Amino acid sequence: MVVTNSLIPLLLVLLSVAVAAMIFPLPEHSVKLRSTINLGGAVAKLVLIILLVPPVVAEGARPEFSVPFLPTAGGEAISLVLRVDPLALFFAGLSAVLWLLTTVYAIGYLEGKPNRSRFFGFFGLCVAATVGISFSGNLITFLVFYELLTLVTYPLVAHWGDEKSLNAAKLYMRYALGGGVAVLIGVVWLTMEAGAVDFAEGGAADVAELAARSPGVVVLIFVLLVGGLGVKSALVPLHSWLPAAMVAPAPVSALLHAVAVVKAGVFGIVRVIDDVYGIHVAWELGVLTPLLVIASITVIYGSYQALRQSEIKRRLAFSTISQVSYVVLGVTMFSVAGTAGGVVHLVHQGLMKITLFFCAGLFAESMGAHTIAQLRGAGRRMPWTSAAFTVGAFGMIGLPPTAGFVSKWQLGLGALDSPHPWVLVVLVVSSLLNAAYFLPVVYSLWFGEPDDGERLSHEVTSRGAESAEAIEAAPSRRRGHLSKIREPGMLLVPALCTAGFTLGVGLATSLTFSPLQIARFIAEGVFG
Amino acid sequence: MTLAQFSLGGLVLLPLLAAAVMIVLPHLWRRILGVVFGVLTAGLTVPVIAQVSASNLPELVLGGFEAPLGIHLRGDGLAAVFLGVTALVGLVLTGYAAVVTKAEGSYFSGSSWQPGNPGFWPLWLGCWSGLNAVYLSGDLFNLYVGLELVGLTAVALVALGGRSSWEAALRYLFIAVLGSLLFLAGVGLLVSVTGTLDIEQTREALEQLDDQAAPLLALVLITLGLGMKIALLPMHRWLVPAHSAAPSAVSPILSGLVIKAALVVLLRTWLWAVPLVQGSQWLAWLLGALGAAAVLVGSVLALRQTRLKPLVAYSTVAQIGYWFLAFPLLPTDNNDDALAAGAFHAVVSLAAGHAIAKAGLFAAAGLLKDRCGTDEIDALRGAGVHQPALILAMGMCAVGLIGLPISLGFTGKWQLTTAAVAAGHWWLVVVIAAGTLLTAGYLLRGIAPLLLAPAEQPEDAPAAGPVTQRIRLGEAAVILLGLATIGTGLLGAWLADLLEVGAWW
Repeated sequence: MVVTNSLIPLLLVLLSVAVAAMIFPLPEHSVKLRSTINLGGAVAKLVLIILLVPPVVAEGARPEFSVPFLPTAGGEAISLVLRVDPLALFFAGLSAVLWLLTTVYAIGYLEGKPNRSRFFGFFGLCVAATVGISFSGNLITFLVFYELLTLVTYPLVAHWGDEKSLNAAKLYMRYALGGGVAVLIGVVWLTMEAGAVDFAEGGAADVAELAARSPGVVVLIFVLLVGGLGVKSALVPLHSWLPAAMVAPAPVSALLHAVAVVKAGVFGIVRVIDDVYGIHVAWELGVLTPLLVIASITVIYGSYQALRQSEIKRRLAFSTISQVSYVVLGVTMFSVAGTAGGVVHLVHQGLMKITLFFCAGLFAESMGAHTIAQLRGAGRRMPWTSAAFTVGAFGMIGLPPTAGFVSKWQLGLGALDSPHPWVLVVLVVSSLLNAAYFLPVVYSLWFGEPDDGERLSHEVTSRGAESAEAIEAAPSRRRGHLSKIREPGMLLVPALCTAGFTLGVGLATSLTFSPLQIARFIAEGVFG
Repeated sequence: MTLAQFSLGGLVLLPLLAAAVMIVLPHLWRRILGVVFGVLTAGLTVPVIAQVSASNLPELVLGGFEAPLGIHLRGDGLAAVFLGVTALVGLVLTGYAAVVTKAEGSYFSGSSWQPGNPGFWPLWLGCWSGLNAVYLSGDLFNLYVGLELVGLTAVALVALGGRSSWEAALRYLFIAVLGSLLFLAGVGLLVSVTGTLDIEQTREALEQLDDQAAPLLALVLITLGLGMKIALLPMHRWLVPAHSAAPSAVSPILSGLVIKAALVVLLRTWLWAVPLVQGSQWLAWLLGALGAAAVLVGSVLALRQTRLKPLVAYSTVAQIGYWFLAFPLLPTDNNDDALAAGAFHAVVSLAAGHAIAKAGLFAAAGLLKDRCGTDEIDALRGAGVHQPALILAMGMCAVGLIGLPISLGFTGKWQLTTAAVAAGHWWLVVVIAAGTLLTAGYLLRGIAPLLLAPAEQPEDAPAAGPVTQRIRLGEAAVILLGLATIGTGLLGAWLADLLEVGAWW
């Protein structure tokens, strides 16, 4: 079949690169052309990935593209390998869906603001790197795209170009490059000891052999790899770049938290544990339990910090730190159900978190609301946004029938199955904390009495670069009424879509190609 | 005479001929001829590379004099790689100089300094001819001649920058001549014990020799002389003023290509001519230690610069260190050819990657300096607002210099690291990692402010000129080099195969 051609993975990576290359030279004002290219690329990618699902998941096809890259002393060169396997497709699918929606959102969000060609160019490259990460067939290829991702997100974080953005971007760069070097050293070392390591379901044979021979070295390499990847996945204590990076434009934060940077980190950890070491080997080496403890600490600490934030975006940032570690929690608890829960949370967390960020951006743009106090009564003025936010928040808490409930249920089952039933306590405590920091927001959205309009409208005008909608809406607020605020469609529709997905994947868990089913399939493969 | 043989001769003689013809022509004609001959010279590298990659070794004896006295041109893997890099970088820079008038330097006319020095063209083509001669020389004396040609034209090119560059050029002249003299003394010593200048014959003669004292002394002299010309720490002091005071089109030639000529000569002597004489181990370790010091000291000094061109120049000092880091891995006691080959590949990949990326970065820095009238990093704040593509291209060059994938810098560092780990020299890995982080640090310091919103300029600040059509074309040159930095990253495996052809083992 055509979609399983070996050039498909390459095509999917190059598609986003081509979009970027076409957008960079476009002048600022050619909005239509730019949006067409952007959306065209995003739709094409989504369609290709959807077409790939049945052959790869059901028929076991593994389209693979490889090209020799690094010469070795032994003679045989190490190749760049792009391969589509179920886990890859899972992650690429998430990125394709969210890229499309975030593009729509970003077009609306950045309307009339400077440097849009640069923004969308790097945006495209960022997605190309993410797709590359998902399709990487060995550690070297993964490393290549992992570093690329660091570089192309830097201009996105620094987009506004003021002192604060630059500092945040610099901090991000320091953390990410430091982590990148650790991963690099780990990869070089592993390649030296075990040869070029291809990702394989259930772990690479060479690594298992090496682990039997010299377990000390293998553990050390694991620490380097996971330590380096832990920077992007914001494991405590390597997390402080993430809240700082919140200064980026809302679509960037959304993408960073939901699919690109943070997820690339955890995806890497999943790959290392499941496809490089193999979960059984990793378990015997005794590296999973310490990581599980770190993940548990991160889950609790992130939630606790989130509770203390009064700014919406910062609260969401700490919530991400906590939520992403559920994935690590799942894959390290050593049970099939746990791994499935971890893997499915890759997608679920992405859907829920992006909903919340879309909404936070909407609140900021339309109402000028940046702190939680300013959200009081927003439910009556921006009902659709508030509804979407509520769905996302319920998902984060893990209330049925949202996606978050499915993840937590699966993780709970996994914990009971695993040698570490105490993880259940972590899950419960974390859920309580989630409720503690999300429910007050939801409460004040719907039942809070709004502040007088005066202060809000002042905030709006003082921010300067506001969208036309906000300025249009300002006079109505100045009168102090609870009048509705127009919610710009380009921003609202993506938020509603992801909120819908959050409910949808929560309800439709038993469909053949639902995320949960694919995750279970992957987890069974991992355990062999 | 086959096409490849014709090309060998043409690579050396054609640019030299062009340089000679140009001296009598007016400026515009020099520019036109410069581009034409640049294209032709670059075109001549294609048959040579094609021959070598088909595992052939094209040879040409000029004038019919056979070794040991004749002029013997020989193409092998090492030559092919550097010919290719020089053709690529040279061609782009030729175009760059042809469209950006200020990049050619300045000349004194009547009572003031005018942009565009017509002396650039014959000097540059002469330099190109010297570079090709160095790569292709099959004997030690012609290595010297080529090196001298490169060195003297390079000094003159620096002096094109006007009065402010003369002091740096003079300092450079002393070093260049002293370095060549030391090299010549070493060669003389070798001839006295071997009786031949031909590289292959030298090797054979030395292998028969019992007393290794003379070759060792020759190796020390040659290494010292070439170390000066490459600007290995602590002999680096001349490089920064020379490379930063040179005109915009000259700095990339100097940093990208000229120091590579000395590196190629060093590799030729160490690996081909003088077969790892006994007792050279300590010298290799000394070079390794100096390399490590260069990486760290050069990077720290780069971090402390407040101007863009000196920052980029110190970055060259640091990058030079990486090449020498590999030297302790080249002569191995246990004759581990695979290891030595890995280290050799690493040096070549790093140097080739550096040539492209550094040429791009210097060309970009020159463009910014010429337009804004200064290269103070604080004053350049916000310069990128008008030239976003330029900043993007600088970022791509930075990828190569930091050694991030996909670039030859990454391939080279990978090879160096694996060779170091295989040999059990873990300290090298630490140096490489530290150097990588420092490089990212200083390049970010140099490039990031360009992205900032423009600062309030003081009244007396020199006004930045508009971005003209010519500057846009100059930008295109930098973008090409940036793309080449990334694109050549995919050629690592091919380069390794190419280097096998005519290798010393």
